[in-house]
Amino acid sequence: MKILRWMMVFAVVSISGCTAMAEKDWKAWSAMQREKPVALLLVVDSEAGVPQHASEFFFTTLPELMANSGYYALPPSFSYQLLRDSGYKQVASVLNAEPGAIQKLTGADAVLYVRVKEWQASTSIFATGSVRVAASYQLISTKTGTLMWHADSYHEMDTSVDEGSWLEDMVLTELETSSVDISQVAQQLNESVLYLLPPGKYHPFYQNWQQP
Amino acid sequence: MAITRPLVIGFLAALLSACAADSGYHWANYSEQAYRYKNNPTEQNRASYQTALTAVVNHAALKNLRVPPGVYAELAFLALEEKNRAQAAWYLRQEQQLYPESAALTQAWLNRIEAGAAQ
Repeated sequence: MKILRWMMVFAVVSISGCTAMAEKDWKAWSAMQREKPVALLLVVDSEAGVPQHASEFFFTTLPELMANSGYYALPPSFSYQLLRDSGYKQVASVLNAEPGAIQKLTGADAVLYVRVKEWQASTSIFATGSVRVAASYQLISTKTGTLMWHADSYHEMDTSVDEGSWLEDMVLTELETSSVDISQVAQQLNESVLYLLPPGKYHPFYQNWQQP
Repeated sequence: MAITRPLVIGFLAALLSACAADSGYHWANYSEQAYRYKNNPTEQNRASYQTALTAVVNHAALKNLRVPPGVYAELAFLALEEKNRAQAAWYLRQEQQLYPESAALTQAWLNRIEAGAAQ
């Protein structure tokens, strides 16, 4: 039974260590503690060369992750149509709106602005391959325009094959690369980044990290 | 040792879930269906999306869980697409009741529905 006692000690120490580390990072975002945003408006755009469906992927899958992080993600369908009908037809017009205007219209405390930078699968004649998704994330207060939290990250899957002759490897690398579902790579990127976002009101850790 | 192995697995599972704790919503395949529908808005994908949303609501009722944010609102949007304003208004009120943070947006759409101006 000694092993059980040690396991319990290890589990307790590890769990508290895990949350303590995260809490330390979360507390670094002082504007988050000050403004306590709850309702978030998701805004997505992408750099030139990124396919349209990449933005659609972020737009449709991020609300679930935002909610799991404890926030209220404003329903994209309704919020986008309301914004469009109110003259906010471009991403820039939302981001550059007068302080308070977007909050008054939608109820959003902050905008989660995601810019998709890369969404690509590539191979080379050297039998190397990769699938890569990169994006930046900014949480901007609708009250003050303050940047409250940000992250810039990528997720890459190496699809290179090195098992036989150069020609075999090149063909296998092509096959391996084309078989990867790039949306899974994007999902992993989003999950790893949103883990860094301080938890919101509906998350069990919210009270912990809000304490000074 | 027969007892120890399940306990070890249990401890490790508890450890991992503690580090990755979230708000406890059940989503089923909501995101996957949402992406499929928005990316390729066919009737079939629309029906699958609607089924996924309804499954989330039903599961929440069965397990006494909170319906995740936005699910009632998305059902309302689909009802509006079908010109079913009464159903859309009911879903929007459910969303508003569960999540007061949605009030500005949901009320704006309820006003539109009452004025006959929504879709």
